[in-house]
Amino acid sequence: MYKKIVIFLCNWDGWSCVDAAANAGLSYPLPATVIRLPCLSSINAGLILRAFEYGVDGLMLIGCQEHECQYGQQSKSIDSEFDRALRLLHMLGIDKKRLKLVRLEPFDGEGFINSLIIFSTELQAVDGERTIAGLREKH
Amino acid sequence: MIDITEVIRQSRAYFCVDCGKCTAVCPVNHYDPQFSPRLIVQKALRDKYKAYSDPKIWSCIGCNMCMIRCNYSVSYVDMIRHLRMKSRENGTEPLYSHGCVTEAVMHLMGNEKIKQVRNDWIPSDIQIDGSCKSAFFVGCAPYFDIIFQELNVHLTAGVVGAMRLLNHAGVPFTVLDNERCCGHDLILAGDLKGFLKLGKANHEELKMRGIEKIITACPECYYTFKMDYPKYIEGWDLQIVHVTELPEIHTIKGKANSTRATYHDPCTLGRGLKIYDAPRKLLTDVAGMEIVEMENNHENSLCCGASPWIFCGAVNKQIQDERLGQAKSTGVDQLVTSCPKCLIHLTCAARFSNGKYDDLKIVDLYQLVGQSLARKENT
Repeated sequence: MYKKIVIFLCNWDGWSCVDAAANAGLSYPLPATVIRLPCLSSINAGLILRAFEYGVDGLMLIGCQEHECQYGQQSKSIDSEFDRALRLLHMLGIDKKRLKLVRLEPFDGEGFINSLIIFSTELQAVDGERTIAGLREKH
Repeated sequence: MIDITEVIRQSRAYFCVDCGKCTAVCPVNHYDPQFSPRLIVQKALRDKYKAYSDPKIWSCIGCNMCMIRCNYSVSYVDMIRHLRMKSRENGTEPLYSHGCVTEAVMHLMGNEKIKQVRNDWIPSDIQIDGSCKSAFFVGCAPYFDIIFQELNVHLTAGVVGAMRLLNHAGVPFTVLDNERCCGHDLILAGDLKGFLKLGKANHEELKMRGIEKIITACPECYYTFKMDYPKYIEGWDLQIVHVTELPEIHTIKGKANSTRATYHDPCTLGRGLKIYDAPRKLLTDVAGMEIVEMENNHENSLCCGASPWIFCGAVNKQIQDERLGQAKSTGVDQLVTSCPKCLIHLTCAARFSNGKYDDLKIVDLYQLVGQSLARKENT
């Protein structure tokens, strides 16, 4: 079944992985929309939930390894926001597996493709038939 | 489509005599002279097409202060709501506070596919009667506890306190498994579409469970069910009661203790619905506290600076600081309020005041009541 996946990734290690995958000629296992951000710390629980409101099936966040942040954020901000979003999703009855935070080494193209494959397999198993796509009406 | 001429007519803006009493009492105007309720009404009368494009319409905090003062009963807050709705129709989106998380949660809840897991915090000693025809409407407290986890406000403790109070008074109630937000903040921010979705979902859920009466402790849920649902939701005929309105709870007496506290009137409960003394009675009789009034109390109570989770800025913080200053100058160490949003906003302001209000404890009324009742059970 076709699943809508959105990936938020940081401009540094996260983006370098996508770049490496493209350079190595690796292809995505499924269509995914990649949104490039300066740093994952600019993501908050509100934006994560809004993505679900707009109807994504799964949301993946790809960031730098801990203590590798180019902006010295040391992933504190994204960790707390990720935790908050997970708890809110659970309360709203949306499966927690639909949201995933992955930390990759720089230029790890294969790692990026592998984590996307794992995420999509997990998503296929979520809730069977039930989909939350299209929660927000189009204006 | 919102018709501005109709909005002006319904909100009685034609009766405005340009006296400026509304602006004189407006807490936002004290800190932001650019914002004036009088000017917004007058602008709407002179050029109704430009009225809704004025960015100042988003600064109103909806505290009802102007409506109390207006000699000609111009329904200013109603007008602001409709101007915001019209503004949204034309593509304006407000700037959401807290990274739009509250708005996203409310919109997600409005979807009929959502099946929430929201009642796992209710302690086992609270008696809930599943077949009862009256429902206790919890409100968004469980969500706010997660969203504002850094503030440690524990709003669900307040809800548990209110439930315990009902148990003690012998009032049976049930709790809805898939209760939605009442939509107060969406309609105040002009999001009529989102509000209607929530309203219809709530109505369906309540009808399906065969509920005839709703009991709530949240002032904003109470206000919305009482004032807005009959206007916007077709076939809404449910009875709505605030916890403090139940005669049974005023028979409970707690043990008096020597602590003193000050009470902050939430705008929707106070000026909105004229409930001033019942929560105070609860505080003195059940929690056993002595009340010391702030400079602005009852009808003149100052707002907690809250807007419906939009445009929280320096002006709002200054209003909150003024309110906390009033509480501190009474010499008590506890500020009690009965609204979850007031609690969040005042706690947030106290937290970022560089330790100015560290000795002032901001507590929920029902949390105190619940603690007092739990102590009574144990002794």
